[in-house]
Amino acid sequence: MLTLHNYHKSYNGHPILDLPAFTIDAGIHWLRGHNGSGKSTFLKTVAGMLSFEGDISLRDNLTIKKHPSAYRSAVNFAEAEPVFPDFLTGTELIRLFKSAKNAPVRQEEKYVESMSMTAYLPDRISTYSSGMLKKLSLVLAFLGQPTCILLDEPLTTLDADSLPILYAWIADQHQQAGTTFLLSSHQAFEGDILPNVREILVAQATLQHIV
Amino acid sequence: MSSAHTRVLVKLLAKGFYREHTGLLLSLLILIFSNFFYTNVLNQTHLTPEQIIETALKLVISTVSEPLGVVIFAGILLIYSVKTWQYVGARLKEPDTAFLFYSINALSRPRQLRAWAVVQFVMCLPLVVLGAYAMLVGVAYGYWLVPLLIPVYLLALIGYSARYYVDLTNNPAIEAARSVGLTWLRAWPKPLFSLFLFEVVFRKRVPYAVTKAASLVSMALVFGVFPDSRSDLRLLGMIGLCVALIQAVLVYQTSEFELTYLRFARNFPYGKAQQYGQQIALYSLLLLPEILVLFFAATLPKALVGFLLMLGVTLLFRAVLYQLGQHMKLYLRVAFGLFIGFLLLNLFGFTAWLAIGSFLSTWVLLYRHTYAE
Repeated sequence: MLTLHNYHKSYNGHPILDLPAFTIDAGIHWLRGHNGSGKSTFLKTVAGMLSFEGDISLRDNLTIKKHPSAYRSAVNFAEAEPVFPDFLTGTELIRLFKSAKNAPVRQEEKYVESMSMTAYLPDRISTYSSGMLKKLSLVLAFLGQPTCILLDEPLTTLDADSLPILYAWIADQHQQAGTTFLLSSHQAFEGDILPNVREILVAQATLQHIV
Repeated sequence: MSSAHTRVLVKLLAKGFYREHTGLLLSLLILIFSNFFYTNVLNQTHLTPEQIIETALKLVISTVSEPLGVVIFAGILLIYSVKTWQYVGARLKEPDTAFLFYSINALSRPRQLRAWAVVQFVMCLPLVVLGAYAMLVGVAYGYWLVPLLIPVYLLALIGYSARYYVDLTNNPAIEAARSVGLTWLRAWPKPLFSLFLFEVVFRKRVPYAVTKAASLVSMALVFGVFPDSRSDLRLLGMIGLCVALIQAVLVYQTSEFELTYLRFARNFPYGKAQQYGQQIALYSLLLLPEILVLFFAATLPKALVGFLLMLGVTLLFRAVLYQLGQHMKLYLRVAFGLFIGFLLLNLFGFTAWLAIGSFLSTWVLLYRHTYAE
């Protein structure tokens, strides 16, 4: 599903990740590792936000180096600490993402309503709390028709009531559209709402499936 | 200055102040300060050496001798100080300075005042240099009252500023909630390429106004010095290059804005050609006042070449930042180097080729650009 070929990422000559070959099957994956192990760097490279050596292919026929636009249409990403121009409103940002990701009309409505975000979306982002901003960035990651969604530290700053809602979004999206998810965290996955979550350990500059 | 909290404050605020206002300070240096220090006298043949020096120093002497000069000088010092207050006030609302509200205000009030006074002193170094120079010249020419009042005035400004900052960090609620303003902009569509324009409207009005004023003055000067050469393509090329150079700091700020606030757009499925188109749209709109003046002052085909050179070199400055990263000093050196080289080539009549070359070089740099961090 997601295949890494001669993948190598380093900062200032210091290797962060080195993966001659690695495959991530379709499904929901929990990417676990200590702080600084390279989880966010890995997700950002998969999202096309950071350069790296080697190549990544999606469904064997779409690679980030050869088909950058089509690949980015198929891969969505939510940052651990999202930053957006704070003069924009949530509504304007959703409109921007829908246009870029070619999302269906009114696609965002079910997400916005289920997270009770309708009241504050017309306000400027500068007035949002970190939790409100996090919810908005999660909604943005679901827009379009992604084959793969990458959520970096999706649980941080999210309140307890919102967690089951997010898990429900993930489960629905995976069941209905077959979307693959990579969720990163430094903690082990403890939820039982998500079906068949598989763990990938990020350590010692490599990835390893945990059986 | 040696204490840890003072060093942090200087690094956080004073350095940021200079970085943010490079354009403003460069313009002030060129337009005002250089004449303040020494005004060249055009015809010196009928003057003695003493008279030449006294005439050259007329501006600074009048700031310590003439009532109007004193008022204007004091006004400039005050306006600069107000600018620093605005900057610090705005910075203290940003997330990376939030820790000051639960760290520095644990110090005793005198220590806080001392630390903030050092920060203000560093931000006001250009004023201190101006004030010291005015004092020296004033005393040398026998004026005593105003030169002795200058340090008192500067100390009072610095002291008041320090107290204002201490109040800001100790009583966060002191500032009344402000209306967000500019509500009419809400209805405007905000495509990705245009977001920096809204950043200009909301946050960078002063740098934008200074840049536009400087480039319009430069255009007026070039047209004024060569009134009979408006149809000369090289003159329009020179204008295009001057305007592009004046935009250099604004271009740097667009790059900074993209790196900080538009990181998310790297995941958007836009190809290189589309990104190039977005940049052409952004910089064409940023250069709109200069473009209008150019097309008003010159005939259409030649104005078009001047415009293409202006836009091409501005785009090239942006593309150069892909290679250099956010290193202002290096960037300005490269921009000045390109400007000088292009100016020479323009004088030899290569104006149109320079425009084409700039667009092509920009494309190559953009095409080769990867999101390294």
